[in-house]
Order: sequence, then C-alpha cells, then structure tokens
Amino acid sequence: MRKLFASALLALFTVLPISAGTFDQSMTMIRIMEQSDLEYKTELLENAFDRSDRIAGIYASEKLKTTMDGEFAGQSEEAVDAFKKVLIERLGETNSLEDADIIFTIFNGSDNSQLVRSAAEALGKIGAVQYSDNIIELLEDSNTKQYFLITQGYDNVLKENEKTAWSCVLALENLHSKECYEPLFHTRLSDYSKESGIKERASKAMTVIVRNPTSILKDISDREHSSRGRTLILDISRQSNALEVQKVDLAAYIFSETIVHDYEFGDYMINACAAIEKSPYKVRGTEAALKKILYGSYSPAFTDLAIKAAPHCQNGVNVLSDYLKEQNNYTREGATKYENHQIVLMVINSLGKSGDANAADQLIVARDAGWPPEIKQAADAALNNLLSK
Amino acid sequence: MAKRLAWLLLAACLIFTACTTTSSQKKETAQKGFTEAKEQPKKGQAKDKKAKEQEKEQEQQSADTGIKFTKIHIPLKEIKKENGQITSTSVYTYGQDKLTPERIEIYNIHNELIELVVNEKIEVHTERKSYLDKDNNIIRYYVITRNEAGKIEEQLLFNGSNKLIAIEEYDYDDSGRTSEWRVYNGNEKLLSYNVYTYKNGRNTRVDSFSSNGILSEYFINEFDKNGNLICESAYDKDDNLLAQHRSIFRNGLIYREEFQGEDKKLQWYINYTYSEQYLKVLKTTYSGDGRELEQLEQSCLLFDR
Repeated sequence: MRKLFASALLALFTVLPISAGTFDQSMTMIRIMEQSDLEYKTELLENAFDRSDRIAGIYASEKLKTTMDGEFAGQSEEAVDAFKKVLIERLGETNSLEDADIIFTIFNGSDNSQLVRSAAEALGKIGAVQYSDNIIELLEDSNTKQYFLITQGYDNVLKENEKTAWSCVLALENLHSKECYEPLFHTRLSDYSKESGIKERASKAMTVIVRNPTSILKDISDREHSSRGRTLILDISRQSNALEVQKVDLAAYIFSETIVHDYEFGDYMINACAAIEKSPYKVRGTEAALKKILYGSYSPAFTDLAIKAAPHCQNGVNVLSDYLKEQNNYTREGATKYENHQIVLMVINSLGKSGDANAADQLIVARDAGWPPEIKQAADAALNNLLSK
Repeated sequence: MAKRLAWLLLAACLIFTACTTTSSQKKETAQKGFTEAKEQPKKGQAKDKKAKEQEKEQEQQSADTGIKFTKIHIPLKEIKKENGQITSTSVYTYGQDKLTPERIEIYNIHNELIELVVNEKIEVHTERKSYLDKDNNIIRYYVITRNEAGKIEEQLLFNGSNKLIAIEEYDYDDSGRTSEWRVYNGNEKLLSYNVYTYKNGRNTRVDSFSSNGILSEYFINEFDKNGNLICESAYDKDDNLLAQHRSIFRNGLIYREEFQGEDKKLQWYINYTYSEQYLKVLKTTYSGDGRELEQLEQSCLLFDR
C-alpha cells in the first residue's frame, strides 16, 4: 500500500526509502489488517508493507503478544503459525530487540520447524546474543543428525534438517560472537550436500565472525592446546586468506603459535610463510619462532619457506645473521654438523636476497671460513646479490 | 494621452525596480541562510558543545531562516549498518527521468545479491514493480497504472503466487491533488477509503472511512510556515489520539523524525545528518529508549525540484 509521499512531503521523501507510504495510509492499512480475518491479516502483513516499515513493526510487536496470549485460540493451528511466522519475520526486520524473549519462547517451544527457523533467523537479526547458545545447540544437533539421516535415507527429514541448519547459520552470522565460530566450523565439516549451500554459507559466516582473528586465535590457544584448538587455528588461517587486511598479522601469529607450541604443520603454514614473504612491512612477533625453526628439526621444505620469509620479519635478518655467526664460529673450531649445512645454505641464500647491509658481515665470514665449497660459493653469490641491490 | 502613457511607463518602471530589489534581497538572504545551515562545528570543539548545538537546533524546530533547501536527494547507494557493522548495501539504478529507480539491488555483507526490486514499463501508462529474492523468485509485485500527469490511478498488489492481494485506487481534484484513496481486497470488495481535505493549498485533514461509510479514524496534519509537514496525528472517531508522527525541518531539510504511540510513548526517532555538500545523508534510527537500531548512509545526487 505504498504511495510516494505527496509533494508537501517531498523533502522528507527524498531521504526515505522509495516505497515508503504516507502516515495515514500506513495507519489505515493497520486498521484494515485489524478488521480482517486471520488469513488476510497474514497476507497483508507479508506483502503490503516494506521490510523496514516501523509502523508495521509496532503492530507486529503488539500482535505477537496477543497471539501468544491466545487471541486466535479458535483458529486452526496452521493459520495461527503462519501468522506468527510473518509477525516474527517483521520483528526481525525492524530490529525489535525488546521482543527477543517472546520470539525465543516460540523458538524454544514450537513444534513447527518452519516457525522455529523463522524465530532463529529473527533472533539473529535483532542481535539477541543472550540466545546464541540455544541457536548453537540447535545447529550442533542438526550437524550431528545429518549423517544419521543420510545413512538412513530419510530424505524429507534431511531437507528439513538442512533448512534448520541454514537458518541457524544465518542467525549466528548476524550474532557474530566468537563463540559462534566453532559450531560453524563443525557445520563446514558436516555432511550437508553441496547443493544445500550450507557449508559455503558457514564458511562465509565464519569470515564475518573472524573480524578480529588474532583475539579469537588467542582465545582458542589459551583455552586449549588440544587437537580441536589446533584444528581451529588451522582453519582460521585458511579463512584468513579472505581477510586481506589482517592477513599478514594473522599469518605471523599462526606462524609463531604453530612453531612455539609445536602444533602440527599443514598447508596453513605454507600460506602463512607466503603471506609473510609478501608483507609490505616487517612482520612482528615471529622472532622466537624463527629461532626455534633454525635449531629445530623441521622438514627441509618448511624450514626453507620459513627462512625465506625471515627477512620480512622484524629482526629476522639479525636472527639469521646470528645463526650464521654461530655456525661460522663452529666451523672455525671444526665443530659444525653436516646436517646443519643445508640450513646454513638456506640462511645464506635468504640473507643474500634480504637487501639488508647488516647481513654482509657474516656472509663475508662464511665465504672465508672453512665451509665446504658449495657453501662458500653460495656465500659469495649472496654477497654479490646483496651488493648489487 | 501621451501624459497618461508617460505616467504608466513611470509606474511600470517603479514596480519593476521594486520587484528586482525584493528578489535580489531574497536571493542574498537565501545564500546567507544556506551558509548558516552549512556551518559545522570546527574540529576540536568539545563534544558536549556539539550536542548542545544539536539540541538547540532541534528546539528551534521550524524557527529556521525561512529559506528552503531547493534540491532533491536522489539516492545512488545506501549502506545499512547495525551495531556498527554493515548488514546490507543497496545500489540504485535510474531510468530516463533520473528520478524513478529502475532497479534496486540489495547486497549482503558478502556482496551477494539478496533482494532485487525491478521497475519496468509494461504499457504506456502501466508499470510493474517486482520484488525478487536471491534466487530471482518474485516475492511480490505491484502493477501500477498512472494518469496522463504521471500520478498513480490504480495499484494492484500480487503475492509471489500471482494472487491478487489488494487494489488501491486514487482520485485527484482539479489541481492534481489526491482527493480520495480507496483500498479493496483481492475480490474487489471495498475495505476502506480516505478523503483528503485541503486548506490554503495544504492537506490538513484526512478522514478514513470503513467500507460502510462510517468514520473510523481521522488524521490532522500541521505545517510550518514554510509548508513542511511537521506533525501528523491520528485520532479514532472518538477523538482519542492513536499515534503521532513529528518531523523537524531546518531550511527545507529534515533533521529529526519521531513517532509516538497512543500512550504518547516515544516508539522510535530518527536523526538526520548531512555531509557538507549534502551529498551524503546519514539517517540513524533509535528505539524510544535511545537504543540505536540502524544507520543508513545514503550517497545521493542532488536534483533541482
């Protein structure tokens, strides 16, 4: 029942949504709804008002209370539920937080799964974080049920379950509380079909929640060093690829956390190293991890990646130079270990590419020390490389 | 005869001079008023001072300079935020008249299209405005017929299953102002009609009747001296206040809207702020108890009225 504002309201209209109605028309429509039967009430509320119409929102708020108090007790349950659904959706659109409790009553108490889904989505939209645990519970329940339903071949129930999961994911995305991350992560690992789009949706919801990934990571790693905590860190690192702004900081954090806490390696470390290597600034907080890599027994491939990334870390060139200095000294004393030669080569190559003049001292020593010829040649090449920059 | 002609000529000159002076003075005042409206608190000024100024501004309500902002805001993009987070972005595309959006695309936080509004001409005086969901399914649509002057004569509302839900009809008086608005259900049964009354060219009263012709409620509209609609009050047939919508204007621009229910309780209010060049409009909606509900940031083009 939308009509553009009359000319007298032109100034007002120009900053309102295009389909906003006049005050008298909105109020009249509310009266018409009030005088209509339940089915027509539902149709009008669903179709005749814009999503953000706050006059309709007030009507919905009042009407949901009276409906719950039994105003339509004589009507069919189906018709009452259809009306409740439209009322709830309207309240979600108008961000009606004061109605959260009554919406939750429906979410928690209704046998109608469609109504429960609408209630979940509305609770998310209005930001009812106090009920996030309940939505999480429902989502986890759907996640668990999915495998069972697939194996048992309950196709109809399966679809319903997927719809419920979808609504919960949407709700948690809107609540964007960090507690929502884990259940979404589980959703992504669950057995939902690709066509349902739930897993993809859960991934996207996770990127919304990971607005401040470092704090979430810290929270998770402080909480537990269990395999679940590690898996989450792993996953957030993948998610972080979508978060360009925080990518480098997050990569640095993952890099450090993984090494310092002896977490498992995986593709995410390769991502982290690559992100550090491309960083436009010196990445902080990686010094301890770098030292551990140099003295640890990690795979050559990973060690190489980390050492290549090191010059892009704050104090990274010094860490590499100190290592080379130490190894140069051992060489002088004839005590160097053969297994360190490969790391020394990597360090020399990395220092040569660093473009940092501070790297030259130990490269000169390495060139002239008692290293095998291939290391001396590498040191010479690295020096030339350094000087050419 | 020649003497009479000379007198007439002299009188015409005097009138012309007087008019020119008045219009140039008005223009000067207009420019002055506009600048005043544009003045923003300088950086570093205390926050409370800014708040006080805003309060004062609101108190003044229509006690503005009397000069109207003479442009129309045409939104190009609208960013909606809740709790400081972007929840959706609407992008407007306009037709040839540059005033009617042909297409409004609404995207979610992931830049996925979640809703589409398409306005298309289906006949010379008939257009169809459709609301589509993310999967391109029609949720509802209007079929709108306009008269020669471009005003809506009839508007049919259908749901996504093509079921006719409601019909609206408009009548206009000789001056092209709305004189009656009627609503029918999908079976073309009259449900209600509103009759519009004008005083000094302004719509000061609307009487709303149920289908049997009995007055159900009426609306009283109040205007400021510049013709801005500043208060709309809804009363039932026994003169009890049902709701009130108030607006505060300054120099032709809206600065605040308030909505009160029948208990006179403030239900919500909206504060408007404008960028220096008026190309951005920030519309912040609060609940009656002051909780921020949403923020709409509109990037607009300005058109002459």
